[in-house]
Amino acid sequence: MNITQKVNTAPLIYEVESQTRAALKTDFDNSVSDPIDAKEVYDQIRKINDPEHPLTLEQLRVINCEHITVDDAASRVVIEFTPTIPHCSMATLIGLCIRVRLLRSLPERFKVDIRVREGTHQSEADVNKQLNDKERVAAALENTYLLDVVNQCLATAA
Amino acid sequence: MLVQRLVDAYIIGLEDNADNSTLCQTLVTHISNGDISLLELVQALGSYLSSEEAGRRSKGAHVLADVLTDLPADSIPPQATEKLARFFAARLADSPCVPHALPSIIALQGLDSFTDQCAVDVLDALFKEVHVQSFQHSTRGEAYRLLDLIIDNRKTVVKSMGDDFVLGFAQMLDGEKDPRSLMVAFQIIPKLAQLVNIKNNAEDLFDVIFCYFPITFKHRESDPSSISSESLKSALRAAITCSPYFGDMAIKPLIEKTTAASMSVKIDTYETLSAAALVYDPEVLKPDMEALVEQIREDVIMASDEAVVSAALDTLEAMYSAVSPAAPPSNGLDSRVADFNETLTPLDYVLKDAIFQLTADDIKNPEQIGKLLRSAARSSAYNCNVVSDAVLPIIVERLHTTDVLTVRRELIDVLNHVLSASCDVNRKAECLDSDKNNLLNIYRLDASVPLDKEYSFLHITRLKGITLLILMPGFLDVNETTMALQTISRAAIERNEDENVNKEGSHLLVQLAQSKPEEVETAVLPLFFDALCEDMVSTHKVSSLLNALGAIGVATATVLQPILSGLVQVITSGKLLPSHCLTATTTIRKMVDTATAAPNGAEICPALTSNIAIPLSDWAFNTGSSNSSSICPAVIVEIAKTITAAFSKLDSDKQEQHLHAQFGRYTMMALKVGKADDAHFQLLPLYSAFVCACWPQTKLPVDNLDEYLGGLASAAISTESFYQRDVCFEIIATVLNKISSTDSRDQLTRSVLGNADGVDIGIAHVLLRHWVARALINRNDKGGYECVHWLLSLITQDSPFSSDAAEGFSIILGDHNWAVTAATHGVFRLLSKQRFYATVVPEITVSFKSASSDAIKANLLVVLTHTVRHMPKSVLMTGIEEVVPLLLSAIRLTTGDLKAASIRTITMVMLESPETLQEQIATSIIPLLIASVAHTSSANSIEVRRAAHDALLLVPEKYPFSALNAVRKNVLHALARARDDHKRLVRMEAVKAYNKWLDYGVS
Repeated sequence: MNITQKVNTAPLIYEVESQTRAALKTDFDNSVSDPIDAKEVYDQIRKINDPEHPLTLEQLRVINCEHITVDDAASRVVIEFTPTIPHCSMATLIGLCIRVRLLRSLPERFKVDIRVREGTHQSEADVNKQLNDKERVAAALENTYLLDVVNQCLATAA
Repeated sequence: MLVQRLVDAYIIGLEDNADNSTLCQTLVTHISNGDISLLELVQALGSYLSSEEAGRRSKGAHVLADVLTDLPADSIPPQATEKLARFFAARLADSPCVPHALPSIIALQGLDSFTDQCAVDVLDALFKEVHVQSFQHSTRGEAYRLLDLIIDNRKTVVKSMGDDFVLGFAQMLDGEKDPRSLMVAFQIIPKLAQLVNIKNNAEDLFDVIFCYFPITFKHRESDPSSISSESLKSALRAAITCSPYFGDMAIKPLIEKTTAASMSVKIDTYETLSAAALVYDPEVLKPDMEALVEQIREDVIMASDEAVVSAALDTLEAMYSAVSPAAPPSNGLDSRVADFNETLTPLDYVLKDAIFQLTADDIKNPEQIGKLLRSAARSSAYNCNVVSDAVLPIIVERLHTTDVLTVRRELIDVLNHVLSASCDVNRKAECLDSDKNNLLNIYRLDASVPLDKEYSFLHITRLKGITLLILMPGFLDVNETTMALQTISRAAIERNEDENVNKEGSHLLVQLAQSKPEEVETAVLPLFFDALCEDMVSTHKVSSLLNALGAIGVATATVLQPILSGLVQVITSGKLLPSHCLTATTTIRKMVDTATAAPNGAEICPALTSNIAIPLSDWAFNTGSSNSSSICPAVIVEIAKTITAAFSKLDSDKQEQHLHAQFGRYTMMALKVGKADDAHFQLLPLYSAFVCACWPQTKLPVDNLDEYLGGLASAAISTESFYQRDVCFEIIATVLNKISSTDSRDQLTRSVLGNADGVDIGIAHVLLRHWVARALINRNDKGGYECVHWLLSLITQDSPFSSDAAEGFSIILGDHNWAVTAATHGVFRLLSKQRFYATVVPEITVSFKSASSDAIKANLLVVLTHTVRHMPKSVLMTGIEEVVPLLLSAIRLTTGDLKAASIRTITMVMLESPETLQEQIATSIIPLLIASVAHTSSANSIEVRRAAHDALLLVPEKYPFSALNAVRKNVLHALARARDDHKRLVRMEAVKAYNKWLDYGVS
């Protein structure tokens, strides 16, 4: 994969609003449970770096809090992301970064579906299939070069 | 002969590169004492100085230079100065001697006997005989230094030499590369330009300076010189812009440099141009203005770097300021406009493009256009008139005809920039008066515009514009200003869909309060107070209103008192819902805290006490006395804190005046034995705040202090009211702490403790010891340690109150709102905490080792935790090795906050001194931390789990992977489970720690 040639040389950069979650009185009450919600999942992935620009997925609006669905009780998360251009060849890599980040952040009980948002990519079906195929993901992560690239993207996420 | 022997030894030392400082010092001492004359020294050096061998001559000059440099001025005879000066001037023609002749001349030129003729001779020789660039850096540096000193000390000589000096200096500098020498040379040029008319040699001088522009220099850590890149740039800038004669030559190349790709070069060039605009002849600037403005526009619109944009706009302003006529002609604006139509003026370079964009269907870069117009307009009152006159009618006309809200917002944004220029030059543009109605219409808040989030930007832009109209000198009359202020106030007060509108409204009011405090006081504050008193006002709204008032009050001292008085009035009149009293009193307390902490805070304390603290205290007393349930204890505490902040800064006489009333009101209540359900006692913290805030020299209105404290102690022991008990202890501790006489303090302490010891031991007896210990330990009084020993023995005896005795150690060193604190003039002696730590910790360690039961051990660990959590880091790290095993036991045996505090202490040790924990980290600490992150254990509160995660996060940074390889798997397993903690805050910490450990050891 050659990422020295930029697919999208001049992406639109959006202003990032403060996303700090307001403190609640129950935050320090041990008897009250805080279920995992879309905002929490978004906080885990918003600072992932784009593979070809020194910008976060949030700044490029590749991910959006409204496009994340979480059901804590059923342990399900569905994330839809929006590539910056329809022919973005980085879409799979971005999806892979999101998946790896969530593998390392969410409780193990969660099943995570990652999809390209409908109508935003010309190879939508292929990318979705690749991202949600466990074996393909596992194989991709055995590729040390690819893992390095993923880790670089995730370096800013923590 | 002594001198000859010394000189020969010196010369031999020079040949051997030996350290001759002792010999030099000996010669200097002998000459200073009169044992040897300077003449004798020169005679002794004669054979060297007149030798035909260059090396020998150089060494001779070297010895003489070393001695002259170190010799005190009064040891050089006046008649010798001139001869020496001539001698060294002649030596300048002798290259090997130059490196030593220059320091000698520098030493001589400071003497009164060094005549102007000497200076002329030296300079002649320097310029004619010395090819400076052929010497090493040190010699070149000395040459520049000599010139610098002569310019500073011999101005008449420099003036008389005139062109010769300038030309000589230019030739000397030509080819210089060393930044240290350049720094001195650049600093010489502005001084030279002030002394001498450089017109004839301006080109020569400019050529040798400008070739260095733009200068880059990287300061290395190892470089002892203090030259930085910025200082070198500034010196060169000052040199280039020191004379109007450089203008012709500098402007074109400088403008060319603005197209450089490097941001730092761009910024440097723009800053140099800004400086040049102040000095160069405006006529020189005008021919190239169009190209410069074009480049500035490009840089501002590209907005690649904020610093470049800012520098470019500053340059635009400086340039227009330089070329602008000094004042508007008397024949009015219309004739000027007519003039402009005939020929293109410099302002047209900005106006033409701006007008084109403002009339286009799609306005491109409105923000940047606004900035450019603002910079051009603020350059002078004249330019402000011209810009406003050209742009305003177009914007007004366009706003009449367009309904597209985004376009309207963009137009108003540009308009705001133009109006702000009028505020900046502090003079409204003349055309504004004729367009006043139009402007008022534009900024009138239009009720038809829906204020949902989509349009809030327009709303905010209008509010900014209204602020500018208010700030513009002489534009709005009194009524219009009031209406405008009320419009902004309503935006801040009323509920908007987008809270940013409220925030912006409040922010603008803060700005306005600083320049229009009286208007804000009369027009704005009543609206806020009315809004606070509304019937169904929500908690959220009250909170935002109070925040806005707080921000206005803190930013502007003149409206602080009216705001505080207004809030007190709102509270005491009963118009504010009781549920909002806590928020209101907290806001008042914060404002008072900020005001009293200011440098001149003590000056307003009498007013704050009389107008704020006392009325609030009276209101609380009256309300609490009549209907006890209507004031919550938290409100009382906030009022008490307010009293503390204001009252503590009064002088002792004023404090005494106020104390009489307070003692009359509360003393009887404090001394009687209270019932647990008597709510009157909840008011006693107000009493405590007044007493505790006093200076040590303030006399309390009691006849017998012994009886008073004894009464308080008895009441505290017998009462059922926690409020009364605590207040009695606070007052006792404060009074004991502030007594300066050791004997009186001992006697009172014994008396107080004696009163308490008369009956069976209870919880109050234990707490009394804690408070007395707090009072005395902080002033290094041994009585405090007697109390501590009493408490520790109670703990080791496993009494029913052991647990209370252990927990109460937080009182001894912990924070308090007013009792025995630095802010309330408590007496704190140096090293008191160190002494406490050194005394108590070994005792705890010994007791722990000999303790027979787990309960005693647990209590001792509680004491230890309370001790270490309040210790400064520097104290704690001394002898920490002894404490670590106990801290680990504390993590094992305690729960909740204490356990968390122990973990935090271990984390701190890990951070400061990781080697201390090297042995325990894998075997003891990591397993304890793993156990502490489990949310299933009741011992692990949220704080414990977060502290454990923080500690685990730090471990990989502090210890090598090889030491922890064996435990990594267990840690990851525990952290993976912790990612499913039911508390979000803990989960976030767990994820961070998990990812850190995941990368640990992975290259």
